[in-house]
Amino acid sequence: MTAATQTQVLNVVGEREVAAFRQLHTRLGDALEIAVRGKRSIVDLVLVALFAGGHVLIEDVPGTGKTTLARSLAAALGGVSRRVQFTPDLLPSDVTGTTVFDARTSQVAFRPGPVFANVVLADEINRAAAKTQSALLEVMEEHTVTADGVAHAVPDPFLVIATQNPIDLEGTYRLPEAQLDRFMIRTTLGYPELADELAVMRPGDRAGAVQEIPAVTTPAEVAHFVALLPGLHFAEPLLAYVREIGVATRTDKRVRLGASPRAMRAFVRCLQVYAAAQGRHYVVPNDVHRLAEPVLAHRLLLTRRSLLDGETAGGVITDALAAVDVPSPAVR
Amino acid sequence: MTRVVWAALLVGVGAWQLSLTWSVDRELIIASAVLPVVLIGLGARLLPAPAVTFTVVGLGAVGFYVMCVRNGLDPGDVLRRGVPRLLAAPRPVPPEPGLLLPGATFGFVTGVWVGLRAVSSGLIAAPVGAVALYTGAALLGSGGTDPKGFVAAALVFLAAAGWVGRNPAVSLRRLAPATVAAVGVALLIGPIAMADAFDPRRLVEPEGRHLRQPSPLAKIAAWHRQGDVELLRYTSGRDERLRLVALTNYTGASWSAEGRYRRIGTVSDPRQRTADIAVSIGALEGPWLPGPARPLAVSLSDVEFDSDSGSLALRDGVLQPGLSYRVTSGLDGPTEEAVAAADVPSGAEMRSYVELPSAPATLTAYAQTITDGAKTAYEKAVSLEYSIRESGRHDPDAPSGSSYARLETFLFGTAGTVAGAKEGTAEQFASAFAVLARAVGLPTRIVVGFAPGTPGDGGTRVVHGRDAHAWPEVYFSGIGWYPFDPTPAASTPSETRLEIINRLFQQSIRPSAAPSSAPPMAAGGEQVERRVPSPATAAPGYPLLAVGIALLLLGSLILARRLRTVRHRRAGAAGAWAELLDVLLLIGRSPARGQPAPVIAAGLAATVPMMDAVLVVADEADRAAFGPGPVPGDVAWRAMRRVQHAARTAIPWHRRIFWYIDPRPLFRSQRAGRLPRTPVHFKGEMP
Repeated sequence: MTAATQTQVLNVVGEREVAAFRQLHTRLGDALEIAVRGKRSIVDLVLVALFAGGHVLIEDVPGTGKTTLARSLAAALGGVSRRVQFTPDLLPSDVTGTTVFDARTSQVAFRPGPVFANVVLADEINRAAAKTQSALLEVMEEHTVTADGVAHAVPDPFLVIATQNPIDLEGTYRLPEAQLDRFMIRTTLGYPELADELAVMRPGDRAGAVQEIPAVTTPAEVAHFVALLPGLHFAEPLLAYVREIGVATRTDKRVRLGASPRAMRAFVRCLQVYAAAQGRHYVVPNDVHRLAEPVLAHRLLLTRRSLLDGETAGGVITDALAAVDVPSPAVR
Repeated sequence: MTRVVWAALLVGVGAWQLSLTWSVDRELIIASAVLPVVLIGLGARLLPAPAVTFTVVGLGAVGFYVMCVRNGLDPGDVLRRGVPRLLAAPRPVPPEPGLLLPGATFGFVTGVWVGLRAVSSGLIAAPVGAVALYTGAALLGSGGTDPKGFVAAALVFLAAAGWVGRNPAVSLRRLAPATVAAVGVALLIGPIAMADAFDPRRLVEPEGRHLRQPSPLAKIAAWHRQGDVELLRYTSGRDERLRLVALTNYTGASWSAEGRYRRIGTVSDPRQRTADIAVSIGALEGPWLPGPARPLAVSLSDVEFDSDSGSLALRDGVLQPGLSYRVTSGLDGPTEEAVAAADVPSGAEMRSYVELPSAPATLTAYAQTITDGAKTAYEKAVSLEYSIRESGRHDPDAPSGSSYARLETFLFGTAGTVAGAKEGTAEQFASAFAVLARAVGLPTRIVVGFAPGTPGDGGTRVVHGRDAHAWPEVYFSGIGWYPFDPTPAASTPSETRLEIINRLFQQSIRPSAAPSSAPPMAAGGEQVERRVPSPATAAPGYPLLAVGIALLLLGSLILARRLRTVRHRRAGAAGAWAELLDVLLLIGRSPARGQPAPVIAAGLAATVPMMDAVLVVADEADRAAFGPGPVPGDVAWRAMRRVQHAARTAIPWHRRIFWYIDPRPLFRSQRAGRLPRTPVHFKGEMP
């Protein structure tokens, strides 16, 4: 059986669709720029996760603008944004919602939790107990909340931006590393550049003024592109190349658990979105190099010895990229 | 399987070419080469290769031994002296086991080797084996076995088909520069090699027999006295002057007919035109077979040939009346113009042809006087021919003999006073010419033969006793033996000879004049100056050749590079990227592995001045390689031109010189994608 017979026929994304997407992408980026300064590359990654139908994990110290980013995105999307502050005593139902008895109607009704929003900011996800974390991760995967046997769909588009504090504070429950695979992209915001930080510090600056961000699109438009972009052209040699990189992470001596097939699927979807965001209706090897670390690094599980040696997943990805021959555009 | 068939086919063609050297039993040669290839190649699939090889070699050795014993041959002798014997053998090689076995052994050894190599993956062995067989055939046949090169072309085609078919990695494109170079070298070397081709037969001193017989020269007078006896008759398309024997050695008293006789067909050029003549012997006696000049083959089996004198002789016994045979001979004799321009050789190998043991001064001085005005060797020969012809009268009854004394009487005696003065038979005329010519340094010999004779019944020509004749021949460099005829009325001089005679003898020496008469100079001088032969063709210009080869190499390099660029251009944007990689190699900035095109381009644009266009090339190439549709290459190539300009500007002028001839891009590695590695899911400790 050939690959083609197994592949669902997708509408080919042409240059016109890509141009439209790029325009939307630019609009979103520009809108977010009002509140989030100098983080265009991070914003781009978040948007990649959004249009690839995945979720983002931002690992950073407090006060670098994680919440602002999430709220700004929700505002620009014109959808609903909710924020859940994860605490050790947070219950799963506090996230997903509960069934309550309505005395007036004498009926049992479902009261949706904060996950019923287009953009959910799960702040400090590692502070909650594992049970609560799992509840959120399940919704991220299923896009539905099941309460008393009734499935309640979360709105579409649905993007979870989880933040995690890397500093091992008292009373945190580290997200199980295997579950990090559920996040499409992990990134850090980092401290701003000098000029950006000065601008943000300057009195009267609009940084963080989420309420000023206009809604530049609609959830429906976003959903349209989420459905459209998997049809973007992906050359066969490039697919083999992406797989080679995944294999390289699996065979690396420092890695206990390499990139899974789910990771590879997610990688390909991200690549399509990223290419379209660059205005291209096809993916090139350079896209692979740009996205490999944010998409793959958090999914790798290093051996304890290499962790002790100070190796990082990012280093493994860099080495894999250098080891695998890039498919050359030159004729053979 | 395919490889074995391919190897067998190649070896078969080579063996077939080799077998053409033999007249019969060609199948044995072909089979002895092809069978080992097939047996070892296929047998090694079932049994261990050494066992199969051992068996095949053992069978071959037994077969060889049995054939040797059955034919009463010493196996060691066949192996030791087989090749020299083959080289000395006539062509085609006669059906003799002693000559067939060396060829079969050669084929067998080649076949075993190729079979062994074919078992172990070699793609080189079969062509090498075929080439060995082909070369063997060419050496044995002095290059005459494949005159048009069809078999060689077939071998090249077969080998190439095997290479390309068996190993797709060897693409025709990669072979192209090598092919251009090979053809160029062949074109250069070919004419040089052809001009002085190597003939291994020259290295071998053929086994032969020293034949020393009294010269038939004295018989000429006897034959003439019984002029009506039919000596022989022959059938030919032309009037032939049949030769009996050539005489080389002169003792001062007589000529002797001696030479090394061996089997005919040993040293000759098989490429010349030939003609057949049928001879039937009448009353002629002696060991020599009459035949035309330049004999190549005789229908009789026991005929020997002296390549020095060109004489044919029976190996055993003497001529019998009624003996009939056919002689094949070369047709292409030298033209008179070529002879007139040629010089005569001097040197050790020519000594026996100019030897005059204790020659009397009268004869040498006379020879000098006659040839004084002659500038070239040919003019000397013609003046001698004329002077001797004028100096006497042909008389069949004149005393026989060719000693110095007899010749002095013949040349200087006063007619009527002494017997034989100013009169003689062809014996004296030819001898006088030979002695005088040797005295002035012309290598000369005497041929005893017959005039064309009279027409007989049924298209034959009958040669009688009165047709017996003798004539001298002079050896000219690059031409060979060329006949002259000083006997009166035997032949009329050609236009060229008449012209020379008239010029040199305007104040002619009368044959009756004393040897001390004035040298025949005077009026002819100027004309003689003008007739000095043009200087010999210039020695081959080796420096010129070297320059030619260098230019050719340069040309093929430029051509190969140019073709590469043209191919890239045809490939559009992707080709532009390939061209860019070539350019980067030339400016010493080949990108590191694992870098996508835009990254390479950005690195270049940041470090090389005016290189910005490289970004366009990278984008276009990526678009062509990874995008869905076809991409026109013009954008990329416009950018590529700017990149090339920037690249050339970026390197120093002395490296720019080699821009178009640098061969490195031709060998730029085009790494194929790696094979996927086996995925490993878990290693060591579990979480």
